[in-house]
Amino acid sequence: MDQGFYNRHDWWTLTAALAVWLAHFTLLWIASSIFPAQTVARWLAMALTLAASGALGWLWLRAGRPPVFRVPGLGLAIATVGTVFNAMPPLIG
Amino acid sequence: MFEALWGWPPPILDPAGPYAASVTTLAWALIAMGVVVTAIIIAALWAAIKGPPWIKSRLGGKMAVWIGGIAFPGVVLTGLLIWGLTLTASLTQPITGQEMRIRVTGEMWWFRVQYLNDAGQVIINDANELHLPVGVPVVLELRSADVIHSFWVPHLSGKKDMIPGRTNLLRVEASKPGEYGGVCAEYCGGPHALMGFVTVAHAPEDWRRWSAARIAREDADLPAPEPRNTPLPAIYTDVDLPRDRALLGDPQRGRELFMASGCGACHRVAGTEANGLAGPDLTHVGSRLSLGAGILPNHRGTLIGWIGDSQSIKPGNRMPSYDRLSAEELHSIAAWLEQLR
Amino acid sequence: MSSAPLQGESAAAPARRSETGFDHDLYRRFPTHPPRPEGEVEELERIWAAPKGWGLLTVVNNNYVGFFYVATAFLFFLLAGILALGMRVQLAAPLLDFLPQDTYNQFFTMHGTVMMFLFAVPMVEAIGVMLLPQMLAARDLPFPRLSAYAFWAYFVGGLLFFASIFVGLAPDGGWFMYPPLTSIAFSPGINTDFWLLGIGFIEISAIAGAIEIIVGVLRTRAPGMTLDRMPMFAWAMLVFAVMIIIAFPSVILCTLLLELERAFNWPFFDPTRGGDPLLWQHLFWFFGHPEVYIIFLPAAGLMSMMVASVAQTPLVGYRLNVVALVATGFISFGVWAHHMFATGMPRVSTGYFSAASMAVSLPAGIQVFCWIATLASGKVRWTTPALFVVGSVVIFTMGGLTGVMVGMVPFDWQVHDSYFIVAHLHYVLLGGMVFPMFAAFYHWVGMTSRRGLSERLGKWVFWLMFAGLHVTFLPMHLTGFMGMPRRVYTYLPDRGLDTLNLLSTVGAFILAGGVLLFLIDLARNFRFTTDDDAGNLYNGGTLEWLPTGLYSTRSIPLVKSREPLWDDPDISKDVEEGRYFLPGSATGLRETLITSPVNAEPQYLQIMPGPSPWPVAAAVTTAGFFLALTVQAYAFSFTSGVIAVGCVLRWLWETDPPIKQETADIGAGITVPIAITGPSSHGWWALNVLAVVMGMIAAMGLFSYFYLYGIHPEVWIAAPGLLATAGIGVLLVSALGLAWASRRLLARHSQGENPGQLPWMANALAAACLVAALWRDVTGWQAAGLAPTATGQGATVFGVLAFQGCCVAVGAVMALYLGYRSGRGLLTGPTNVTLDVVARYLGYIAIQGFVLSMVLRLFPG
Repeated sequence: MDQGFYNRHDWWTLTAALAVWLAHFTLLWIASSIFPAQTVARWLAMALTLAASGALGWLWLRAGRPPVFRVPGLGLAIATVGTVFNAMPPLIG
Repeated sequence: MFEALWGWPPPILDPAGPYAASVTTLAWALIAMGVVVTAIIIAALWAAIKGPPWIKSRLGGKMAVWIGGIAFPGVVLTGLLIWGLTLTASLTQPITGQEMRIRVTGEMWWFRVQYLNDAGQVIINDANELHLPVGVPVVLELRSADVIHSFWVPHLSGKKDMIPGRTNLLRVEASKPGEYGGVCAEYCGGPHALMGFVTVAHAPEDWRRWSAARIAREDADLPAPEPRNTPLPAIYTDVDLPRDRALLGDPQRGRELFMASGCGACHRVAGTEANGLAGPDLTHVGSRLSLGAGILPNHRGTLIGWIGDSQSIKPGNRMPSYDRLSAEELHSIAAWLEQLR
Repeated sequence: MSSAPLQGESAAAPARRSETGFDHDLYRRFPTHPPRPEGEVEELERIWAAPKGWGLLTVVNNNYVGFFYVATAFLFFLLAGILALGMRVQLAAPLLDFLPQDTYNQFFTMHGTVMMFLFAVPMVEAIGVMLLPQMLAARDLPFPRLSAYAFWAYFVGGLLFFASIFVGLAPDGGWFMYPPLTSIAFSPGINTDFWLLGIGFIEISAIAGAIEIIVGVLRTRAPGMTLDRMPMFAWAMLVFAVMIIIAFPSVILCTLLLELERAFNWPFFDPTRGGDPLLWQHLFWFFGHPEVYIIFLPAAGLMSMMVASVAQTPLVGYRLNVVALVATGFISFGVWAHHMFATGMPRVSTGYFSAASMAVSLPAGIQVFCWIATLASGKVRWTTPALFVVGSVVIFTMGGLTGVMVGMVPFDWQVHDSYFIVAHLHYVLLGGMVFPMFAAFYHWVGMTSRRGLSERLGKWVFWLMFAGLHVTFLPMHLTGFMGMPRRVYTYLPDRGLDTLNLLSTVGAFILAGGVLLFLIDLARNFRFTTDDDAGNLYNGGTLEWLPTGLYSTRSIPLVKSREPLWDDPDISKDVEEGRYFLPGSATGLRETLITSPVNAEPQYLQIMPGPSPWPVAAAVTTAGFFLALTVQAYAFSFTSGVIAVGCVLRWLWETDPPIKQETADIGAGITVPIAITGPSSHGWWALNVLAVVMGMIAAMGLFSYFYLYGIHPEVWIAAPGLLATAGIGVLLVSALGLAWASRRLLARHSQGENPGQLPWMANALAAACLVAALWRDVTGWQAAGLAPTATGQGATVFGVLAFQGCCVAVGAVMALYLGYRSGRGLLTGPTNVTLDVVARYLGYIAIQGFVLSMVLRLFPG
């Protein structure tokens, strides 16, 4: 790790990645609350997961494909794992 | 036996039904994970502080943080999450509408139990005791009459809250006959600590006989059986009959006292003029395994103790202490209640 | 022991690019060489001298306020601990009567409430108040009177709240106070109101502290202390403060709603009228779960610093740790309903919260492994802090693992609300906060005491507490498995619980023995001082170990690395001799240096206030207002409230003084402006933080509205007509426009020129528009047939509007205050702090009101 926080962009990427996770989680939860146990909620969940994955991928590219050892990379990794976890309930449950 | 409802082995690890059994397996796996990971952390700390230089340098690098802090937990958590989600799904299969249904309503501080027929009508009224047939999935409709309570029989399943304004559904199924203890598991003020119940699982034939008798007894036109003189309760073996006649208690007089003291305003006994709904239904109180909502064994001593001074046993409960009744009167009432089987 | 320079940079050039245009070559002038003039230090001492005797009530300096704060929080820890001992005695055997039922129910409610609200959060905030300025080499926190107000409000309010137990009026609904048990029907006494009003108002304290910490961490760091070189505790406190301003509004709202329901019968939680008991649970736990991370993260920050000190080597994975803190902060907002798994939520919902609960443990694991890696990189000396640090890791790990266990829904369905959870929560809280706190006491005592604490006794303290903790709480995992529910004042024999509970009771007394020994050590060795302290007993490397007086450090150093004291052996001497920034007072008043958020480049000099009676007076009268409401002494309450507002205004009067000097020399010939307005001023930041708090309350209000609609749509009636709605919208947009215009009107005037009546009147008119809009809104709904007591819709609509009403009332007061200042000639062009704050506030309220009004009227349409 050699760039650190001199780069505001790194910090922004970390925050944005976690914000994507938070938005994904919140929207999935709201959908399942408004349409409990209905297929529309599942389709919404899959669509939102695709959107979130796209957003995370875009952030990764925009940050210059940082490796997982760096601040933006680690933030994206945690957000991705969290998003994958979020996506499991509508598929499995 | 009341005394054997709880104890060792711990109910969560001693399942008596399929829903509980699958959770017990998960519980053991989680305990194992917890113990193993704790051991790893303690070993890592030990090695970090006191270990030889080659271990220290491995642990001191970023790679240790990656493997120990991210990769290993990530894999374990993913596996656990998949297991947890699948298990949750299998425990909450959609209700088909064909299952047997029992409505349990949490009250402060007891459980009202009502068995429903296929049309959703109440066919048996009871309190603080649940009777299930073995091997049959049962859906409990959980409600509350006042504050939030929770229904929990650890031997048979996880818990579910009883929330006013909602009906929560809980699946239970017993896989072997037996008696299992239950408690209220959501703080409901006052004597929440003393709010419990008993679940009895019968072999299917026995359950059919039991329910048929109960349903018949609920028939509105059928009068209650007449009080009859019964032999001395087993606990009083040294009693000199002619001198201590009062100990027997007179069931006929007990029935009259019950009505005259106003007990019928809160307690229903099917086939009599007692039809109060505020308190537990006493139509079959004599056959219950417990009194006071799962907290006392059911015999002559606890019956008169409860009626005479329930406030000392369960302070704050909604039944006043009938301490103005004499010992002979209490015995008579108890003698009648014992016959309500 | 010294950290290598960060790759790609040399020691002499601390930062690469300039953030503000500040020329980094100027840094080469430090440390300066000519000796400092005579009397400079004495002047500094005179300016920062503390008042004596009763005057100490008016002190605002963080050395004193922080100490009072820590001491008070520790007192509450002891008080709540004594309650716990009483509880454990009652549970030592079945059916005991040591604490009768009602008393026990009050004891356990108070134990939880005091520990969570009066000890845990205030303690970490207090440690922040004491340590942060020193760690950042700032002379004080950015709003010293605000922290004094926060402390006194907490002190008075907390003690009065605790006193309720002595008169049998303590709340008894559990620390989480679920309705309907806590509704008026089932809790008719004022016990519950004590909780709602007492705790509700202590949140003000926490939020005030949060504002201070955000601005302090981001704007008052020593020059050169980039975000990348900040002590880990500062990072943790930054995340902590942001979490507070997002999470606490939720509990403020739900306590307000329950109080409205109890006092005025507005049915938020009454299912028979379109309310829902689960609404409380969502609002409470949306606060409640981040709350425990709010408690844990600062302690984790302290752990990171102590681990480095214990191993005498820099923290391994500093940046990983920061990412872990931020990630934990975010993800902790997605797990709240894991406290509600048994309420009958839809299955998929439980899955989401389970998934997030798994995810939140990842960053915590990263932190633990960073600590282990640090210990492995260095050489551990077994001092008392080292024992507590290592012990904390073990305990917290165990608690975290049981947390992963209960994050699994089917397992939680068995152990929820049983003693297994009691075991889990105590392991994480004691391991994640209490043990680090004790470690911190030993580690940092040298900053505030003439003598350190005893190492010999310290080892006894640790082992007693460590052993006591396990003996108390380990058996509880088993009692939970055996079916013992929580919050029970007794249990029955023949359930196999007797021996295990007795064991827990014995353990509790062992734990208490350790704490008692600590108190004895404290009494024998702790001697409060502000300038003659015992110093750097454990050889830490960060700035709080520079020689300090009440003015903090003699000069503010230029920071070039994360552990400046390890990397520059001369730094203490140079700082003490005034060879860095601000070696004296540039204006003859109290000051500190304001620097830029990322690179900490000097931006301006902030004048700081000295001792003042107004914060303590305002705090006492605010406490009086809320507590008098509890006992329904309305006249006293009203009077107290009016006086409180007066004290606050009098206090604010001094915050916008005309300054004679425009720039100041902060050392080596570098000059900066003195106090500025606009986006870089810290008053602006404080307002923004407040806007977030209010926005979150409004958002939670809207959530309540949508939620109840989702549960009981059948009770919804139609909204008033669109024309009326449009009229309200117009009024609100006008208010926004007027507030914005007032700043433009002022800007047309030159420096120091009197701008006439227009600027303040524009704001007054804006406030009038807000009042008018609200009045039309409320009367419109009433005309449409909605009553607040009728249904969930009525309750939420009028509740949200009542909140907007409070905001508008504050805005009206602010507009009048501005008018008064203008009348006194204190409002001059082209920019003015007071007008800025008032105009921005009114503008924000206009936007908030617009969103609230429109949503309530247009949804569901």
